[in-house]
Amino acid sequence: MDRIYHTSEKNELKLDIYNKDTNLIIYLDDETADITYDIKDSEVKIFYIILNDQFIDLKEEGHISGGHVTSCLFDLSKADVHIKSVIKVFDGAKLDMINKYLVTKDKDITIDCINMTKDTEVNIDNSAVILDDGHIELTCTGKIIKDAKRSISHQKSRSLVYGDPKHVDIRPILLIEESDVEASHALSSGTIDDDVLYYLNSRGIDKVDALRLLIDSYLKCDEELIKDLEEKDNILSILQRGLEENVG
Amino acid sequence: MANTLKIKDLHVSVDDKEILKGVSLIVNEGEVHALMGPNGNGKSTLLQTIMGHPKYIVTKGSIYFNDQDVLAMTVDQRAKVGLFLGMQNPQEISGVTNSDFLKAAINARRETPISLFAFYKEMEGNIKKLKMKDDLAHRFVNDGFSGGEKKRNEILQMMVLKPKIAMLDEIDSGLDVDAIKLVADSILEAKEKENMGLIIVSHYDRFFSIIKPTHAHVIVDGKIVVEGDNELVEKIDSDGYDWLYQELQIHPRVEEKPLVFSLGTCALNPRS
Repeated sequence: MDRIYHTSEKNELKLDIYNKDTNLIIYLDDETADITYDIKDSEVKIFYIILNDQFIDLKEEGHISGGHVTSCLFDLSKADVHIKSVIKVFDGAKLDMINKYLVTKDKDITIDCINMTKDTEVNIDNSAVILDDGHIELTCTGKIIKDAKRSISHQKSRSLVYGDPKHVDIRPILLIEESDVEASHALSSGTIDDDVLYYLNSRGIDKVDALRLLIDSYLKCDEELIKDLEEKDNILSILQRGLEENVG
Repeated sequence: MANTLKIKDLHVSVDDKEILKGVSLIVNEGEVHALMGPNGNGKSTLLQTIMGHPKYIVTKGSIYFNDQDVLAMTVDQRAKVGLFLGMQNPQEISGVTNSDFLKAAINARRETPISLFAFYKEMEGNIKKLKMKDDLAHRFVNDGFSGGEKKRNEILQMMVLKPKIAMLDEIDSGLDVDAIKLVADSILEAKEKENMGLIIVSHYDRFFSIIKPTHAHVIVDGKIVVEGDNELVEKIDSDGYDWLYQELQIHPRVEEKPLVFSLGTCALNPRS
């Protein structure tokens, strides 16, 4: 059973999940959201869907002990967004974090994921498409503290720039205090290739649809991830609408 | 009305350098035109110009398809009226699956989107015909494909999109002997089915011996210098182009090779 929350109904959420597998779908439809969670020995998927088109200020604080958490944030909104996330991972837990941003306004995002004890794992995957007038500052830090032996911290960020964005600053950071670990970070950034656009056009796909196709390839929600959600269709239609409203 | 592509006195420049110097050509539906000539003399330029690549600037002349001014159309409009270019170096588009790509291309030509059932039936039938891998629909467009797979994928797109005039630029390069036969047979089958007109650039007689062009044109230094039929293709295959240069007192343009230079090394082995 999925748990569904709307921050317009309650913008401070404190979630304790122990020994339970569940999906949390959090619609960010109010200007502020203050979310803390404590997840122990559970298999949990958390989905943040930004619905407000004006302004979002999200503070997220998470503790994960044991189990596996997959955290996905989809921001295909026209909102100015401010996000501060601090997630601490304990006791052999695994965190997979997937964030997707379509940037046409100001996005200021800080993510800190910290391996607190040994044998913990963090994998972060950020994708951003930055269009005309878009402004993004994304600082993503993976930290492994001393004695968190055999921990893993990987992160990759990729961005696609099209048009004339105001500002693009994406910083992957690794802070490693322990030597017996596995860690990496990767960043790629590129523009839409004119030859790729031509290729798509040459098959009858006009410029707007071609751009949508290319942007969608960056921001597409992995259907495997949401296949079991009751909210699957709703989430897909929100993402589709976000794409259509922002492109063309 | 029969589908006809008419090219008249076409002059094309790239980076202020004239590549095509007055090409005229008429291609009707059902005809197969072989476009031959040494490398770097204008064959691909002609095809890319017809399709509308922005790099190629038409300085003079006209292209009409069924009395519609092709040069006034955007690239996607040209495709929608029925022109298709199977490219020599197809683009790799990581992240976009073949099925999403082809669905978008099909739907661009339709009022209402194609049903999933009809789409997969069409796609899978052609994938089997071209003996491509079953997972093609879910793979990213040309991403990690071998040279041969890319060329087959171009033909797959042609078969699914059913153009009226298909231009195939060295579509046989990168294919092994069996694949050349398979691809050529598939092109012929599609041509018969749709009464498609074809303009084919190839350097291989093996390919033309299956396709059997009804017309042949040789481009040298941006001009069509001789025209004929399948016999001309066979003569060029056996004798090359030298007899033409001597007979017509012409010289081919020598293909300019890009300059290769070192940017230097980024690391030195301290032990060396």
